[in-house]
Amino acid sequence: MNFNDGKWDTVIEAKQNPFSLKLNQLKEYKDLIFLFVKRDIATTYKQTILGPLWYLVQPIFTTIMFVLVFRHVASVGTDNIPPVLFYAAGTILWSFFSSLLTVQARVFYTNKDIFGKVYFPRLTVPIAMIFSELLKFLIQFALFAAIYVVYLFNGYSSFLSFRLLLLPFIVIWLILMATGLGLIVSSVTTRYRDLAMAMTFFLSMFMYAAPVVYPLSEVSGRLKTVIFFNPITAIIECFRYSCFGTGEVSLTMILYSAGCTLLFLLGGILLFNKNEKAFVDVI
Amino acid sequence: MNDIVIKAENIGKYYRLGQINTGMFYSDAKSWFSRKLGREDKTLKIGESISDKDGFWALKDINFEIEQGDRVGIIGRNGAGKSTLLKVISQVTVPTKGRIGIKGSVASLLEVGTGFHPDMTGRENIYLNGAILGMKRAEINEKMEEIIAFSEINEHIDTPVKRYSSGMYVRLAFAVAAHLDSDILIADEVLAVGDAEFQKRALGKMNDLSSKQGRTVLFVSHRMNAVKALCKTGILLNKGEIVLHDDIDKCITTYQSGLYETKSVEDLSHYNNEFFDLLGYKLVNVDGKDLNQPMENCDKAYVRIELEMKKVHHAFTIGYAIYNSDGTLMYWSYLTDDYDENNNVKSGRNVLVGEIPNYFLNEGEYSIYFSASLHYIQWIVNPEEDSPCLKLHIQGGLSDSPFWPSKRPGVCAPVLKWTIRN
Repeated sequence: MNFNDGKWDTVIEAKQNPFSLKLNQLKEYKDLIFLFVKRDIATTYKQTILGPLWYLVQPIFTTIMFVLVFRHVASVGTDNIPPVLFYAAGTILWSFFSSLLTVQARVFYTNKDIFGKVYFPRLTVPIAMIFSELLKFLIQFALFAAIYVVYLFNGYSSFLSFRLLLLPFIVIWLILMATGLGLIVSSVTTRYRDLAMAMTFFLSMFMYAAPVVYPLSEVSGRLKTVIFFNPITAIIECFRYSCFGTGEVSLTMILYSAGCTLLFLLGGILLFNKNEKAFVDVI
Repeated sequence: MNDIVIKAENIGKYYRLGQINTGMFYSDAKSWFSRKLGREDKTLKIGESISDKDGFWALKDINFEIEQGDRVGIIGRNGAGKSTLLKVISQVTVPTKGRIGIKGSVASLLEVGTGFHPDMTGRENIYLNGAILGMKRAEINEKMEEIIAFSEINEHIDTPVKRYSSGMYVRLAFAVAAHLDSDILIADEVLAVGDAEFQKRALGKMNDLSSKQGRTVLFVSHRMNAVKALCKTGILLNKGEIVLHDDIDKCITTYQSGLYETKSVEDLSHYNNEFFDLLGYKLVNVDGKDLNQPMENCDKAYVRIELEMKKVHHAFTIGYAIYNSDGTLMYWSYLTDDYDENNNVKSGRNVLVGEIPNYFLNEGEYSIYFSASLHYIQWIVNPEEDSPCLKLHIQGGLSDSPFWPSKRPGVCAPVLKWTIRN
């Protein structure tokens, strides 16, 4: 009996194309993606007084802490950028990356009940997560933009340039990298939970090994090589470059980081596809 | 002949057993490397493929075809593979081998209400749950009123569902699922929830969907009367294999008569374990003689268990589980219910006699499964999985009154004491 004669709408088989994103199926479920985003946004701050204002509290306080600790206590330089702007940029970008990575890494675990009962394209969940985290980022970015504009009118008008047009691409780049990594982690953790335990630790290590609280220009020697090999470094430096025109950005760094992104993304999709079929039996 | 909408070919589903830990990581890595290097997988013994090494086949070589508009009841004991089969068809899990072709869309009602978010209102959850089950926003809008009406939630629809009673929760969830426009509806024990009134309505709705609208329905339930009411054909599963795919009445009769059982009571050595050897398991009458069946309800019957104890354990207990022909568990009875007797189990030969009350069970066929365990520690012989079974047939003797010549309404038929004061 031939199952590929076009008579069947669905053929369930043990083996499937490992790189297929099932885009046509995802299109069918775009309402679901929208509803997932709405659910994530609407339920996060239900029964809170400040509601979505919490999105702003976190970066404001982190920025203040960073300015106090790294600028005033440790006297770390900021490439002649006003410290508030410098740390605000680092904070919002890093928190976008880390929270996107964290939620993606828990895709299977947080949704195990629903995944175990109903079939829908599993990729809808990480995609919805991208949008809800992006929305959160955009709100925080608006705060950053407001501070930025204040500084523009107070003697830093040199920041303004066409480099700002690079921002959307940098954001997309960051999304792709965080998603790729997140999918890899989520897939591995269904079987071995060790990675979930190590996640917070790795993330803070990752952060200090990236120019979040200091500019790359402040580091030298062997440490600089280490930081250079952190794939997130290029993204943060590019972000600061496009906002302030400072930072050390080289083509090798960008190519290296872009290569990593591609690798993470392919690996993430491969593992996710492999896992979405089998994880129900494992988790 | 109708169109075939589901065709399964050689479906097999293998589950791996055991803990996932360092040991498993090590053997995973070893077998992965072996395979990558093109060598034989050394973690498997010679001549062994993925098989019984550290897992089991929940489904073995399943083949069937289901026609458009069929209402198929899938029946079998616990662990027979019913739910696994539905999970494979609804794509929640993949088969280890074989293929299934499906025509049309599939919606599954595997445990209603999955995906409900407690902080969202009933209405918001209808949208979300509908979308998870594959409905478009526009379709949900169209059916919103109908869904709310069916669920009888009415004015509470804009309240967060965490404030709902469990009944409301279930009604809402079922209402969403029942209004799906899918061609094939898969339902696993959905009717096991809600009150009797709602169950009746839900069953009616399912009937409606298939008979009036021509949907194909796959239905799993342990309630034979529900299966009988809804389904035309049946698939009887036992230990992952199809025993019978036929008219629903034939399937139920076969299931209830237990003819498909592979192990007879004679083969007791199969159940020997580190604690005891099972030497005898039978029904006897008050004189200790083999029971004549069918027996009357006014007589007492006894389960007689003969053991050779090899290891005595303080938490050891033995008993039986009795099911009626619908598969409903009537009760469990255990030796530990009687504290004094429990301490009398000694190593060596023991004969245990457990009473089955008279004037208690209704007329019908009963299955009595042997059970042994260490209380709260482990099963030794689990009555829900693999355990020897005795058949008890009760007919007549239901009451001293001449008004009850046959089966009484209700699950059991106790004769209880009445007093009159004037």
